[in-house]
This record gives sequence, structure tokens and C-alpha cells, in this order.
Amino acid sequence: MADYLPPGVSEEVMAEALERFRQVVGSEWVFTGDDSIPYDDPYPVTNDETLYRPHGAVAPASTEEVQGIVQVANEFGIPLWPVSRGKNFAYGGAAPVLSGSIVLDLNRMNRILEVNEDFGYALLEPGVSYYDLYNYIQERGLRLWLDVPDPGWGSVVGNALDHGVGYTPYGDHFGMQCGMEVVLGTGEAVRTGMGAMPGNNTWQLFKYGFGPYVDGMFSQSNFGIVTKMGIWLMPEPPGYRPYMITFEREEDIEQVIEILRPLKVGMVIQNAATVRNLVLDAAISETKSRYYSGDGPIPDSVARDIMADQEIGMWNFCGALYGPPPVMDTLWTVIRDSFSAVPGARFYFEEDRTRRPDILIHRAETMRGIPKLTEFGFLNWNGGGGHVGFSPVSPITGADAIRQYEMVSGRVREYGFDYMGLMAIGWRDLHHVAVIVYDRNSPDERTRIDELFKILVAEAAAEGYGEYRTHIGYMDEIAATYNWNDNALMKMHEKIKDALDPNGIVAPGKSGIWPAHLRNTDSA
Amino acid sequence: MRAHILAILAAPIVALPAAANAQEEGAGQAAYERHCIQCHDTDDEAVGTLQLGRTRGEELALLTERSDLTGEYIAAIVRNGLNAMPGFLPSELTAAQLDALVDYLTAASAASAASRATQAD
Repeated sequence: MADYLPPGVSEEVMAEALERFRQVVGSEWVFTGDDSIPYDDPYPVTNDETLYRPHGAVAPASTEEVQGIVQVANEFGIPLWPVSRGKNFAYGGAAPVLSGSIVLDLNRMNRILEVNEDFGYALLEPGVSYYDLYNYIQERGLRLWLDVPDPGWGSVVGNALDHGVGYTPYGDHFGMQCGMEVVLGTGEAVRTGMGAMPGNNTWQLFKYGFGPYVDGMFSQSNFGIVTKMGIWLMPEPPGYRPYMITFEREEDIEQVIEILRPLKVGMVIQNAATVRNLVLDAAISETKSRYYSGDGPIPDSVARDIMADQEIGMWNFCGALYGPPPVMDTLWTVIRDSFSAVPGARFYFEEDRTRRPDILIHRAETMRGIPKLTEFGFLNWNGGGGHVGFSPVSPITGADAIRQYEMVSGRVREYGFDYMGLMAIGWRDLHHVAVIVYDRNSPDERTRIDELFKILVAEAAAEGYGEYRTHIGYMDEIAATYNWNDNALMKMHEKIKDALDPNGIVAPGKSGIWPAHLRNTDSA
Repeated sequence: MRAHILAILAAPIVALPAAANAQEEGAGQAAYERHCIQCHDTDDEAVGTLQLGRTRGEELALLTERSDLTGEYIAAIVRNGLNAMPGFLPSELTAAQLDALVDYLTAASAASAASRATQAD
């Protein structure tokens, strides 16, 4: 493979820097050439093979080794692209925004430093996966539940830092973060919140410490490298009852979201609730070819066939009740009666589902924090395996939900893809996550995806909808939509970047934030 | 990268030696259970097994029962991925662990083939 170099770095300088990295971590933990191929984006959204290509990777095992690498990177001007586990696959995997970067691979920093059952928290290094933490808890019989995203092999720390979501009452992952250790671009290590006080024992109990609360600055950012993080864990509830409510018509999403809002804001619905569309749920267990052999998106008649075959709706709301049985019974009465207002709504518990695999049986495990990879099934819908997420945020209103659905699904189908999407309801917001599945081996489909995505970003912004998270290929586009008051927020980000990372070596281009020497250049 | 995968796919299928010793076999099984089994298990939600069954046929759906995979092919797919499957980083699955995984899978498939032959007799 070609050796990509960052701007202003010669082959000789890179070779010298790599040798110094080997001295820090050991030669077996520096990867170049063919050994660095797995760091490429496995689902590219471009046909330009020079984009998002790392030069190599270095894998430290401790905070001290991270500091050593940062020191060398500053000395030689080498951009580092930190990844926790490198499995943020709908958004670029381990690949960097800036070609020629060295991936700072934190997989080896995989120590579970503490799990506290009484207070319900864990202190973790970034290489700890959801599977790792789940197994640790199960092996010790601790009465704690995780909150997992759909793929369980990712990093607990990394997912929270990228504002990932899950499906229990603890579904806002960064909201459940408490205390972190960060290596700044200068190489200095900082502990936030109560961790800044030597001998303090509330680092994972009280977020805010004293003075400005800075933890958020290190999420979706390139101001530092998070090397430890606290995360709150949910005590095992005395009862658990997952359910699914199906809705028959596309337009039902408007009424469904109107019903959901007061139930969610009022905490009658306890968990991070999701309303998922037909194709997304159907694709978990079946491929498109089973139902349709034509070109382009499935017609409505085929959608009806799928609904009958899998006994699911055009929209499917999976939720769960947590607590003592009388509490669950009371909450369920309110939820059932509320959604009964939607004509054709059907209500299911696990025992009502006989088909296998089944979407509720699967989601029931996810909503109780069991890590899985079942959702990867939808990547096989077309057979080509590629996927990218488009994720605008709106208020929890029926009008916004139907507007977003019509805008996005219309464009997605216009470009020849099936609409796969979900509406995830947070504390006060609606995340609309549309996953576009395509053939990663098809240059034509990659071209269409790229064109489609840029249209979606622009049209959403014109309606006031901003993305909460994005693929490495669209970070500049998304950042440019957050431009109130002559880009005041980005200007502030750049000032912070210059102060904490004066040589600009940490993740250039992350979230559209570029170091001073690369701003307004062809790289940015 | 893609040319490399195609070259591996086109390579003749040859028999490979079984796991060198019990220690390697244990390491290979551990790697399989840590990295592969979530998608390539026998349960009805194992997406890799489901997809291989659809595209290659049921007799080639389960990795541990396949006798057509060379070590070189397994290693290439583990590092490069294939379609929905992404590749695995050398930090999470080291070169030594990958070697052990290859030995484990080829030994398992050889044992499976022998079992089938015995049953056929």
C-alpha cells in the first residue's frame, strides 16, 4: 500500500519519529505498511483512495506511554488520531480525517480499574469494550447492568465520548460519565472534577468538582486524549418487562411521537426509547432478496409482505419497564392506554413472539444491557456491507418527526436506497438516525452516497436540524452548519485548540476543528 | 488492498497442518471465542453464520465446520474484512493470536471433515 504522509512531514522525519515511537512502546506495537491496513475505514464513502488513510499506528499500554508518544509527536510534528477501540464503524472506524496521521490506538489500555457495586460506577481505560465490562460484572456476580449501544464490541469510553446512546434508563452515555483523566496536546496529564484533588474519594461520584466544568470539552474533540473515564452503571432493577408496540402506517410516526413526548419527559417511559422503521427491523434477520428482486427501494406492496411475514409494523416502538411489579403494572397501563389511540396499534410482550429470530426477543436483551452484534445483520440487507449514519436532532414533536422522515426518506429513496431509520427519544430531544446501507465495493454507490449525504446535511440545516455525530468525511460540512454569530463557536474551539495543543498534533480535523497551521489550507 | 484480497481469494485451497500443540490450541480457541463467536456462533442471531448460509449454503455457514478455508485466506479476511465484516486491528488480535486462531479453525474444520467422513462410512 502507498505510504501516506501528513502535510510538511518528509519520509525521513516520519521514519525517525516511528523509531522514537518504537522506543516508547516497543517495536511490536508500531504498525506500518500492510500491518496498518485494518486502520482504514472499512466502509468508505468516497472513491478518492488518498483520503482518510493513516500512515501507521502506535499502540501504547499506559498513560505514561501516551505522554511519551505525544512528546515525540510534538517534536517531529506528527499528527496523532486517537481511537479507543476503533469500532465507530458508521462514522469511519479507526481511520483519521487527515491522511498520513498516525493512529493512536488505545486498545491495549484495557484495564477495568474499579467497579463499585454500592455506588454503581466503573473507572475504565479506553480499550475496555462493553463485552469486557459485561463479562467482568457477570463473573463476579455484581448486581449492576450496563447500558450498551447496538454493537457491543466498541469502547465504553469511546462511545460516551462520541455521544453514543443506549437503550436502558442510562441511555445517555455521556450524561452518565463522571470524571476523566486526559493527556493534553502538550503531554501534560489532567484529572477533571474531584479527581483534581489528591486523596479525594468522590472522583466517580460528583461530576463538577470546583470551578469550570470541562469534561464536555474532551468529547467529540481534539483538545486532548482521554486515558481514564468514570461511567455510572445502573443497579439491577427488581423487575424487568420489555415490550413492543407496532404501528401500521408511515404517517403514524407523527401521532406516535406526540404521544411519546409527555410519557418520556414525565418519565413514565423509563428507558431511552426508540421507534424503528420497518426495513431497519426486518433487515436484522432477513435480506432484501428474500422479499424483492427489483431495483431500487422496496415498493409499498413489498413492505406489507414484510410486515405480515415478520409480524412487525411500519414503525415499531421497543421499550421496557423496570422496577417492582406493581410499579411496572401501573406504568404499563398508562403506556398501553396512551398508544391505544393510534388506530391499528398492536402490543406485544416476549411471550407473544413466536418467530425466531425476532426483533423484540433481540431488543429485549439490548434493553437490559447485554452486549451483542445482532444489529450488524442489517448491513447484509443489500449484500454489500457498507453503512453510514445521518443523525439530525429535533424537538420531540410529531410535526418534526414527520418532517424529518419525509425529507430524509424521500431523498434516500430518490438515490435508490431503502430508508432505514429510527427515532431515539432522549431527555428532551429526538435523535433521528437514518442508516444508509450500500455496497461498499461499488464505486457507483459510493458516489451516490457521498452526493446524497451532502444534500441531506444542507437540507436539514436549512430546516434548522443539526447532526449530533458524523462520519469523518463530513465533519467539516456539519461543523459549518453550527455557524451562529459569524462562526463564534468554531472561533472559540480554535482558541482552545491553540492553547491546549499548540503544535496541533491531536486529531487534526476532528469535528471540523483544525490546528492553526492547517486552517484554510487544502487539508482543511 | 482489494487486489490483495482478490489474490488470496483466487489462491488454491490446500490442506494445512493442525494446531501445533495444546497451548496454541487453547490460545486459538480463546481468540475465536473473544473475537469471532459473537457473529459466527450457531444461534439464530449469529449474523455471520446467517449470511454465510445465505450466500455459500448451509454446509459452509459455520466457520468451525468448514474444510475449504486456507490459513492464508482466514488471515486475510480477519485483517481486511469482507463485505459487512470489518477487519481486526493488530493491537486487539496480535499476529501470534491470529496464527493460533488460524490453527484452531483449520484443526476444527479438519476434525469436522473427518467426522463427516466417518459418518458417511
